[in-house]
Amino acid sequence: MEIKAPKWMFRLLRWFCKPEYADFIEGDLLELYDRSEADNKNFRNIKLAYNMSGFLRWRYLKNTEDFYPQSSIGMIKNYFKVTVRNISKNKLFTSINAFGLSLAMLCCLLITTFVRWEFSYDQHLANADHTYYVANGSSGRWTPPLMGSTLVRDYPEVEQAVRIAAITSFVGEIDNNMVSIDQGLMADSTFFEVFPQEFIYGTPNTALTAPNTMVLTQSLAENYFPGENPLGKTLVFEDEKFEVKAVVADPPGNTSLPFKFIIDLPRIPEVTQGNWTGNMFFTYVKLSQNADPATLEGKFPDFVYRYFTSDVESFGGNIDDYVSDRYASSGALFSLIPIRNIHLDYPHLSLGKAGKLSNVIVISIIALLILLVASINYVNMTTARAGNRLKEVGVRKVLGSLRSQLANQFFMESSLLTAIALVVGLIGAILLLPFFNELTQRSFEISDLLSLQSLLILFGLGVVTALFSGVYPAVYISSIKVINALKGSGGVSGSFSLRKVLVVFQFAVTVFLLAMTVIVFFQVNHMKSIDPGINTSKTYAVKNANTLGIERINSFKDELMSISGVESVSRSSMIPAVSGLSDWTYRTVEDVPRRFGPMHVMTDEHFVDVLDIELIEGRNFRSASASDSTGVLINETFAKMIGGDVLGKKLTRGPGHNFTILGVFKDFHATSVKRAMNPMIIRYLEEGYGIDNFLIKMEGNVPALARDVEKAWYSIKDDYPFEGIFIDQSFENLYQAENRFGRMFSIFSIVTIVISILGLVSLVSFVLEKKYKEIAIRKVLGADTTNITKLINRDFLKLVLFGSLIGVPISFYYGMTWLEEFAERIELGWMLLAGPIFVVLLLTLILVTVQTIKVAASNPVDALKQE
Amino acid sequence: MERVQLGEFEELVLLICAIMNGESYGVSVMDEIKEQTDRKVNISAVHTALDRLEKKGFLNSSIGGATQERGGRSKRYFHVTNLGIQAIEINRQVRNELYDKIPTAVLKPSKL
Repeated sequence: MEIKAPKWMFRLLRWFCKPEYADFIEGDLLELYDRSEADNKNFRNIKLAYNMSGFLRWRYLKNTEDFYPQSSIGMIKNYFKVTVRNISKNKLFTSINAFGLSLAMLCCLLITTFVRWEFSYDQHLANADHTYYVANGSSGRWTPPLMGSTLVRDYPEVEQAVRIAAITSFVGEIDNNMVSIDQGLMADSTFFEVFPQEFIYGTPNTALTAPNTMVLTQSLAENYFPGENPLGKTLVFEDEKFEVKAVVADPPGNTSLPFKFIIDLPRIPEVTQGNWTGNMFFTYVKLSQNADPATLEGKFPDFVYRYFTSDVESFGGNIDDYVSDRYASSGALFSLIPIRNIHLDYPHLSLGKAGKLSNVIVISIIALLILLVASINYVNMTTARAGNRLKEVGVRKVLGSLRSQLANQFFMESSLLTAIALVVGLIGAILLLPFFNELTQRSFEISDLLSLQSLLILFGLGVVTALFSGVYPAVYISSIKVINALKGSGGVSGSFSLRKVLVVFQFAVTVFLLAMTVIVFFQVNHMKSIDPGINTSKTYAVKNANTLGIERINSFKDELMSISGVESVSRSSMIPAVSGLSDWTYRTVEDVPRRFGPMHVMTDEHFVDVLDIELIEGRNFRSASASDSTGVLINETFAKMIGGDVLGKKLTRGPGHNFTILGVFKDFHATSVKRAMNPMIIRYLEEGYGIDNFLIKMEGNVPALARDVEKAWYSIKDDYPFEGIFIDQSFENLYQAENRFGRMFSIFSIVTIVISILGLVSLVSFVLEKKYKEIAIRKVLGADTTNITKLINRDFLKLVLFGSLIGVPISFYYGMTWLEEFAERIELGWMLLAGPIFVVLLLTLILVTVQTIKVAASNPVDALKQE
Repeated sequence: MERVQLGEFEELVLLICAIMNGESYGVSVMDEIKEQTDRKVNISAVHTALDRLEKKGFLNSSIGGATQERGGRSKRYFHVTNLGIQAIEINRQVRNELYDKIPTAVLKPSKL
């Protein structure tokens, strides 16, 4: 009985092969091995292994009688029947499950649509993968006028470039009606080479080539010239005539470059020549297909030295300093940013809606969490109710059903439920779409929801959910021993501990979402309550004063002052919390000049009055004083940065542009308190510098006064629309994005809470059923309802508490990360985070108590009777 | 005439077993196939076919014949059952009938 072959191979065979076959297979293998005696040892072993591997089939594998796949259509019919019967028997639980899953599907569908949209920005652009935004520094918006054309001329890999300036309001006349259009572009004629468009009328080569030409989008053309071809028509806008040369299709919603019309760039020196240190345009370039942007970026230092030197030096600067300053402050001279990255990674460069990658990621994770929580519910509820299926499973096993068939039964159930949830979720998503649009500030249509990709994703989600929800019940229930099943002895309480883990997880998620909601809510409140440092109540701003023309501006001002109730009027380049802030460079006048880039406002001596700005040192401008026109006011932060006693010190922007510091004012926020306090400088207004706004301080009946202001405007200029806004709400409006963020969390918290409650309720009812007898016995031994309630409560509260303690640190961590963006932030105190825990615990307490009382109050005799 | 569900390889193995008249087991069937049809088959394929034929009722198995080369392990011999013989007969009949119906022109292509 020697075996000359390697023993281990046969041991392996014995390990996987069914014993009834093993002997005969071994025998045959040995015979064959024997025959190959002539060959060398390795070859024999390989042959043996090869022969042996052929026996790796279901037929021969140990313990797989049950999983030998055998199902057919007939079985599926039966599964379906049983599933339907189960559903009708347990209508309540099925509906709870279905509801939870539907909610989850709904959220997932909506969120998928959103996420896909956000990632799809600018995909439609023909050359999107080699079109770039030329950013100043590493992500600055504006670039010099000659940047684009010079790049094209000097570097062969730059195929074409275009300069764009955004137009936010365009006022003119169409058919004797005054119209004001927003969202327009001024662009070079090369626009259509870099951003090919679909032309309805006209051609790319003639669209913007002549002076004063205009291109309309289809909807604009339809709006003002319904049914006609507007080509060749002359429109008057901003006191100039434009000829309509083309009509293009509307750009899609998911673009970082939306527009309603395009006009050519004016042929003025600032545009055609410009100054290499003056940054006025958005520049986009199209590189050749295989060009590497990094290589081109490497050529920029050379470029800058070649072209920027003369202009930099004409302002009294030194080109080497200029270059090193740029590197120091922004890390690069210029950068090439792929267009597709703009929407999510560089939202400030986008002319369309701003996106935020972190938000998109967070919302996706939340969707998955919700789905997970709902699936966990299903798993919990099914395994808990397994007790009711014992007899069914036992009988089936006796009749010879394989484990795989039982498992399939459960998969069928979870699949059917998921399918129902999908449909209900889809319907729900369609119904809730308008609300979702409002929350996310997008405009999705039903067709977006029903697009092929969305449906595929949803279907995939459904399959995954069905599998995931089904696998545990399937594997677990089909493995119970037949005898226990038929006897009815509760052999199926099984991993109560797994169920506990699932509950803990559910509540961890719930608490996390709740805590985040609280954090965001408090932060937004905090920001709203911070005193911006200026008084904006009853302050009215009038825009576009520049259109009045220099002669009439002063008469308008006099008109305003003459309205009773108007306390003071100031002209200003900026409107707090609305518009007009820019940063200009100023250098100190000293041996080693330092450069600063404070926020820059140009206004008159009334500014300080209108906004109640507090001067802490020095004095305000004096209107009559000629020397004051070169005086400036700076804020505390700037003063500290300059250091020492600043009154009388000088600041300069180059030869002949010197300014004296007249006074220092208390810091105020001119924009969102999100950012830290920046240095600020107020200069006395000079005409020609875009001092387009009037700020008016009112007293008394403010709405009536606003009407008076409007009348005053129209009495002076009747062909330009009046735009006036109250700025007391402006600061609040700045926080809209954060508001929405908070709302998103609150909604999802509610969804998760609902699902978790459902889960908890069903779990409690299961536990109570199981402990029915135990409770009865306790009652008999003298426990009263309170004791029993406390007993049951204790278990659950422990679980929920544990879950909360997991959720809180996570929300703490994420909350801190989110808050880092804000200069002014709330403290994440214990009180803040304890709130959600408290809410959740209270909720649990109520639910458990309500259910327990019912059982605890019942007659113990019922439980202890033998059936 | 009843139908018989037999794969091509299964039918081959069944026929070989009938030929060997009770001496058929894994290795011997494999050898016989090689000899009769010059076809090399894997031992596992043979085992599987034999097992399937048995489950279908065309073969019966019995144990016997341990030898030293087999390390003392016995062999599983397969005999053809009556059902198996019936199956062979039916298949043969069907093939022959079909063959007879083929028009001569197809069987013996004329030389042009």
